[in-house]
Amino acid sequence: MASIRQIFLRRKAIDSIARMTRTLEMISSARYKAYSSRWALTGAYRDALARIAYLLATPEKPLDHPLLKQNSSGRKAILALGSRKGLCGAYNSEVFHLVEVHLEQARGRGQQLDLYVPRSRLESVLSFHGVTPTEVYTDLDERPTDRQIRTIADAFLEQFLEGKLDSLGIVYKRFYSASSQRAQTLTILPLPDLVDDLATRAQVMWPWDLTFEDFLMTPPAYQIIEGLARMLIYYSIQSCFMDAVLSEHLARMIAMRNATDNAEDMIKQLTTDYNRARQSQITSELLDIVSGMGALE
Amino acid sequence: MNVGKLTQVIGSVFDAKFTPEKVPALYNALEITFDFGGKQKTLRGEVQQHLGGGRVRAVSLGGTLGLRRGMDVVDTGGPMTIAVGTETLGRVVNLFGDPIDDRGPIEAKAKRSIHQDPPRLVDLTAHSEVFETGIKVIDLLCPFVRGGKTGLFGGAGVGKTVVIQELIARIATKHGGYSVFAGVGERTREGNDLWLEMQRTTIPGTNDTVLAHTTLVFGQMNEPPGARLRVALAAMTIAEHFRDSGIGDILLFIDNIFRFAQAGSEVSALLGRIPSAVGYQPTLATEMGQLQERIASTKTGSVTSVQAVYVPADDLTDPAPATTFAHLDSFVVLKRAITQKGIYPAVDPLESTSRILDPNIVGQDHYNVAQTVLEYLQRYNELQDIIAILGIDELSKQDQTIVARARRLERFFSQPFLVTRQFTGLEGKYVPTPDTIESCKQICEGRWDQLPEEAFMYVGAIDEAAQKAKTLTKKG
Repeated sequence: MASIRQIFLRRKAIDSIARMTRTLEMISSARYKAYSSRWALTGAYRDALARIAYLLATPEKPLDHPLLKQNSSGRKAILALGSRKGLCGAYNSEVFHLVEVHLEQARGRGQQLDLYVPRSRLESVLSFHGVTPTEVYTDLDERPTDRQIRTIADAFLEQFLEGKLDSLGIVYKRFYSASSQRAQTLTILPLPDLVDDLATRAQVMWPWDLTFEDFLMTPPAYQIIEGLARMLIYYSIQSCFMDAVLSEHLARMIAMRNATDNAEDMIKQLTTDYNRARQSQITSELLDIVSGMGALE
Repeated sequence: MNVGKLTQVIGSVFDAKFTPEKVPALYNALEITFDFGGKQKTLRGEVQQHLGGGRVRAVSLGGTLGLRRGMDVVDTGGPMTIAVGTETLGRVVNLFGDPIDDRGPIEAKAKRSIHQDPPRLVDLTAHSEVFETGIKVIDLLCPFVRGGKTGLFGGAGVGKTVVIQELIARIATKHGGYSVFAGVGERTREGNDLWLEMQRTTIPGTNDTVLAHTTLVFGQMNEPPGARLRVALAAMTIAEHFRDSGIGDILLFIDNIFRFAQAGSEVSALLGRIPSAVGYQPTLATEMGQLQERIASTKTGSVTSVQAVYVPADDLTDPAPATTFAHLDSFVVLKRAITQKGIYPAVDPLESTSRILDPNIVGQDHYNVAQTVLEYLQRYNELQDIIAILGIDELSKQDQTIVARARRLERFFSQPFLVTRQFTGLEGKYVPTPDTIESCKQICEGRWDQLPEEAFMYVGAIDEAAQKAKTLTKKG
């Protein structure tokens, strides 16, 4: 049996851990609530954008726009979103598994795959597996500003328009609902793939389900698509960040709640041990005193 | 003949009065012969204290049932002696050297007092040779010393007796010399099992049974404390005789040395000594030292001993196991937490150790592998609390790898035993030390990370784990 002092110190240590995990749970649950209402709105907006983009990108007479073409430089880019902080369960290893699939695929096809990551816990997972990201965005906040998103997206767009990039994908933890979040890839570039991707995942009525009259556009479609495509790309990236951060807080909330429960169980057990050890010490001291007295008589 | 009178009986201690000029010496054997239920009964005792005025206090070495004050007490004039020599081989005797196996009397040429001085300092030899057992975890982390002392520590029901019987099965059958087994205060049934088992098993290459090379000395749980206190000495005396007559290397098994200390504490209070820490006798260290110092290898022969040590309430700091610790070369600590994982033998790799786990003796490779294994297990142990609270996902990838390998090592240290075949249905496995070292090295290097954890349970060397993994996937 460990000494009373050891048990006592251990219980104290676990008590502080429990206090910490409880606080983290509270912080995350507050953030989660704040973000989840915003998240609900972003989805609808993105879907609406996607619907218009779909209509523009799939006309009877194909459009000729640089964002709609396919490049063949043999270079792909993945933007992987890990958790910003730790203590959120298997979040990063799930994201990494998907990144690994992409890496394997690229290797198999002899393509070059460049990895871009915001500053996150994913970096250490990558370095453990010997993967070096091409670029780490060090200045991003939990929710990047529109300007930051634009800077990131414009860099990719430029490479794409110069023909140096075939595709861009975002690997992130998608937030389906409060009970389901999974790592997924959203293809951002080329644009038709993004529209396709969004079209297959949205739960709204799509233009092919609707009948509508032919329509005319001013300014012409290729001009509209220029602005709309960029908007859609920025917005899709932004919403992936939103999903990622929402999933992170939810994951942390659950992980920390479990941790607090586990710690409490442990404290309960240690309290029992502590009381028992203390009692047995008292008993043995009493015995020593009584037998000492007995011997003196 | 020096005869006195019985004056007082207190449990298993009795007082006798002699003429003051002819008081029997300390440790002299006393004999009381009396009628009990129409049968002639002889009770022996040993003088422990002189109370003054010719009165002596003796500890009874048998049951005191039927004693009456005023009975004649005969001083035998010397300490108790027992029959020793090759005639005792193949026999089961009690602490007086009397056979209890119903195979007729023992015609021994020599008798020897059960109280002996330990070998002289100059006669001792230091051995630093490994004694292979074929048990993976023991050979790797706490190798036995040939001619040295090993303790098997464990609480109630963690498998001490099974391990000691397994060691008998493994080393007594391979060992050319004689063995002595002392059953001290353990279950009589287990003693019987062992006796029958020894009659069945033969030593490979000969027609001799294991029993023919062994002397069993029993003073089990049914005996009064005085008998349990002296039976270890009696067994030691037989082993000493073999050693001193140059018969060769002797194996001495004691199950269980704690009962010796316990018996001492039972009589101690009756002898009027003030109990010391946790109620043990104040002379615990002395008594233990007197016995343990006799278990030694000398120039004439070596005694390799394996002692089971019961650990009360799983507390290794209890005075009885703590005093035993100091005398041993190799410690095998059995842990309840490991039995709860279903891993047998439940050797705790972090607490078990050996004096000869030294690169100069076991070799650099063995030492390095053992240290790496311990590092992995130690780190895993440190991470236990984090895993329990936060879950394994919160560990860094490096730590997750360490945990995965440590868990595999932990399971790999389970091993099917020869003596448990009838319970487990698994054939016992003898793994030579080089195989053990190589297997553990490969696990630490991560060559077997892909195998499921169950594949490491109850296998021999690592290739068997790989084999088992295949059958597991087939089934699954």
